[in-house]
Amino acid sequence: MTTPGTAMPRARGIAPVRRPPGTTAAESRWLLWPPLVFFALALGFPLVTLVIQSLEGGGSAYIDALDVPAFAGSLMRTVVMAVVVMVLTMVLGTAYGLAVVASPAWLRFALLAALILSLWTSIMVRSFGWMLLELPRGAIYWFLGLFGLADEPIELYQTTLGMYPAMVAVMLPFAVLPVMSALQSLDREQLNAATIFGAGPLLTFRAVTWPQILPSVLSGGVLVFVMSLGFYVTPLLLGGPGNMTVSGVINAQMNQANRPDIGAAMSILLVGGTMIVYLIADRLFRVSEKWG
Amino acid sequence: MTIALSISDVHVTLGHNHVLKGVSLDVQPGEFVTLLGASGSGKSTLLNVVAGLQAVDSGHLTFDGVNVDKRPPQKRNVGVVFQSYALFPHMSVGDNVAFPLRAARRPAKERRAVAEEMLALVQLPGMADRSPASLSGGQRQRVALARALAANPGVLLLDEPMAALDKQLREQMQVEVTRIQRKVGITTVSVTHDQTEALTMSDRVAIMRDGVLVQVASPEDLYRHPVDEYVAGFLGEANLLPTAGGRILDDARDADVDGTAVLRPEDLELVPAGDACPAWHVEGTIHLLSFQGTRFRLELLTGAGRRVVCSLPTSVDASALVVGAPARVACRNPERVHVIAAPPSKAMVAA
Repeated sequence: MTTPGTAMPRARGIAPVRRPPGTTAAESRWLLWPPLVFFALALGFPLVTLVIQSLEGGGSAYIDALDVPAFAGSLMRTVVMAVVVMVLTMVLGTAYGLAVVASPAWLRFALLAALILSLWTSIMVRSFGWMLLELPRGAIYWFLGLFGLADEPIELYQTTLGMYPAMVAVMLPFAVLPVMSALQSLDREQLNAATIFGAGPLLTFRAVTWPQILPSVLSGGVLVFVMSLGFYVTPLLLGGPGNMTVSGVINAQMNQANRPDIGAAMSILLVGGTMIVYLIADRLFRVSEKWG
Repeated sequence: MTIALSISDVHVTLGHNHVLKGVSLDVQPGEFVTLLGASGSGKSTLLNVVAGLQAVDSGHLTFDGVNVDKRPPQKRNVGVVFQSYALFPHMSVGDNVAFPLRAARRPAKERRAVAEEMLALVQLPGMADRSPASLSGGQRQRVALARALAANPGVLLLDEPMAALDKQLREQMQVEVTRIQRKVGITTVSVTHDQTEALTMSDRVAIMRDGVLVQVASPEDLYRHPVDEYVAGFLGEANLLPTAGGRILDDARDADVDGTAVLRPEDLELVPAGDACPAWHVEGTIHLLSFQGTRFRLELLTGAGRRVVCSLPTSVDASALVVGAPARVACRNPERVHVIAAPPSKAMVAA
């Protein structure tokens, strides 16, 4: 019996054989350069600029940033918001993924098309779309009016409640896709086996399906949480000034308060915090494997 | 608990494909019946019908005389060993085996006890806490069998049970599964395309072709008395030669032929030149001679160009068997000659 630990070095030892014939490590390594250069320019350069900017006052910008009362408040709000979006998206995304897999072909196509189209559409456009729905005399008001249910203009636009549906809709694909791929790779015979051995649909889901898709549900959730920390447009448009996120506060420092150093320090704190959350979550739930 | 299984006139259509065309089969309590056929013959579909995973267009299924057509798979109390074993990878071996009892809401204590008992039956005692991933292929199959038997089902269904095993392990597990089946005494229906497996394990073998049961009989009966050329060729090697009036007619015209003789290679022997020749004989020239360890394999070409395969003991003097030389082979025991009452088709030797 070999343990994974003893099998690993052997696997590494035969790895070079799998390279296409005629290429050596040195020859194929140049393929790594284009993405590395891209990352250096697109991610590294702005990040370094931000760090330099934030350190202009000798690091005092970080202290100033933490002293801005709106920052601490928005940080708290952003994390809570990200958690709420994460939980809602995980629940809805799992249900959506199950629906896609269980549907007949035409419905599966429709569900997938809706998901992919939403993924392809700009977040700005989608947020404006939700705005049109939620305006006091918007589409929802009109629709309710058809049934005589809307006596007075609805109060949804620019409320906390109003921003969540849009944010969940924006994030949904990132929760659905990993769940769907886990469901599709599930062995059909296992479901048949559960049925044969007397399990109803509930026990089959609880005892067979759920434990095997849980890692993907979690990894989708982590991704949604991390991405939700950077929400800017949607809460701004739909949540109103009372729901300003960290991104909003950073924008205010940069463009209104004219303190780019404080804005830069806040950005670094947000990016750093997000990275720490992601790295911990990746260790715990192996997020990157589910998306690799 | 073991039951009598009765399948009568079952039809199944999948899409535009008429997969089962009126299949009837009765299985006695405790009997081991194997459905043998090429892929696409409908044997797996028939197994799914018994399990309740496949609905039927028409026909009936009874367990101990009770109609179960409308009974969902959960309530049929069948045990299945799936082709891929379908063990639950996130559960321990013990939890896998006890799953049917969990579904039946049996108390945890009983579940543990039954799991231990079943694992002992399949000779994997003390493995309850292992994970399925840490087991070998043969051990996984034993676990799948233990799980299939855990809820004391009325019927055991085996879907290509040996397909995932290598050859040596396969022979070992054939013996092992048969031992357990006999010990438990459970009515068993197995599906395979492996003729050796079917012959080794079964009380009776049902040959399936294009959605129909061609012949259902004991392994020996099938081998000795096949109803048609397909069955003759499916089980082992057979020489199919045209006959008329109790003799082989090599150069026969179609009009004279009244049947097809099935001659097994091992029932043929050489007749030295000058010796009197039994009625059932063939003449030809030696086409090929190969040494196969325990036997010689001799191939003759008859005057009409038919290939006749003959399996000879190694005690035969092989020096005279030169390619191109004339030779006569005959079957001395007329009881070993089986005649199908239909002229042979063009393929003379089916492997």
